[in-house]
Amino acid sequence: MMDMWAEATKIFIFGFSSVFLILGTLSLSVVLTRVLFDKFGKDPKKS
Amino acid sequence: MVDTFFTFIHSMGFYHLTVGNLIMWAIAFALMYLAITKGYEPLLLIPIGFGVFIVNLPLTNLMENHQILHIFYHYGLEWELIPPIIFLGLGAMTDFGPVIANPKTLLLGAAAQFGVYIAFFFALGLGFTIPEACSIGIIGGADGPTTIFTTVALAPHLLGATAVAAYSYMALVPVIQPPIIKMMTTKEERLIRMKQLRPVSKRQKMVFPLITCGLVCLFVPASAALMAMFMLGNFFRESGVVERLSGTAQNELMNIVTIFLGIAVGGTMSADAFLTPKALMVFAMGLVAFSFSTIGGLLLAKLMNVFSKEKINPMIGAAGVSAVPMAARVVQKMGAAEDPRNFLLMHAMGPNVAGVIGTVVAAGIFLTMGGQ
Repeated sequence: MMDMWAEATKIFIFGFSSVFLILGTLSLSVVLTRVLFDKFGKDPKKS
Repeated sequence: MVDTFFTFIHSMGFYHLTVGNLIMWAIAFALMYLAITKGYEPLLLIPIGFGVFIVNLPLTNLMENHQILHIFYHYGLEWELIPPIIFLGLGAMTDFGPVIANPKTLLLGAAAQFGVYIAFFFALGLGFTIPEACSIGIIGGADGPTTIFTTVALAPHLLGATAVAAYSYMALVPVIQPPIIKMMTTKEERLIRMKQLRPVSKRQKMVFPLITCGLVCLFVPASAALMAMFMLGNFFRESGVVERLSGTAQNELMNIVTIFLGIAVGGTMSADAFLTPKALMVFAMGLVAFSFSTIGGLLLAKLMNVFSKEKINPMIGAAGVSAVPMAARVVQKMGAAEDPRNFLLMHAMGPNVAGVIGTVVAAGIFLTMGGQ
């Protein structure tokens, strides 16, 4: 029983923090991409 | 003659009808009624409802080996084919522009997975196993195909309950969310106007699915089937050179697999399998998951306002539960009710589509860690 709750706590900690880590990284990647495109390329097609 | 008569009577389904079958018919008709009269997720609830009805016709054995519903279920769901194809279509329909324009909304999509983990713990407390609790928790992601994908892998016996709970609550987002949003926000917060989103270049939109697919699949390989197809669909859309493929993914293909998905899910809901205390608990947990996911998104949005100069309307955090685009529309409607000139729809679409990504990530982690 204790094992199950310990396992569940691990899933929660790794799971929820990973969701933030991954979406946070994605967020930074979007910003980085924008900076790179703004700096190095002209993109006439704005939508 | 009398024997033949009784044999004939015994061969009829009528003779074998049970109270359970009748209850399931009532559930089937209720689902179809909601779909037809209220417009609640009709594309799913009609085939699901009909599937429930026909699988509860005694002696038809439609879910037995090599029978039609079993074939749909086996090849469509057990082989994990249909949910990724639905994601292909969803990707082709999704505009990630609002997320790219305001990338911090991705974090709101992450925060709205809070309910997934709360429901996970609640389910464990009610005596469910870890794989079952994972399947129940993921209902909080408000994402039907992801719920089905996770449940088939971890707790297939709960498929009917989790899928119907997910789609029912998604349909009920306009009922569930507003009171929670009102309770968690002040009038001043609901009146906050947000700056118009900056324009996003075509090139950025094109690169986004590639980056997202690479990142998510590298971090959580178990989510690759869903994420890769989601982003492939979006890449079809944004590349702008395969309109036929994009159109097929979001129309014909999506419609075909939706029929198979609905009827296969309905087919899992026989009276024996569905009328159990566990199924009722799944429904209760689904509501817990949805509510806490909404709260999670709202809380992070409020927290962001503490640290950020440029305030965001915290209601957009509630759209972090996927339920695209219903949750974003709820936010728009509530914003307009407070201030008719406040346009929040596009701002809410950011967390809304981010929520889909967040749910797929959460599902991938459940599949990796919760499958013992």
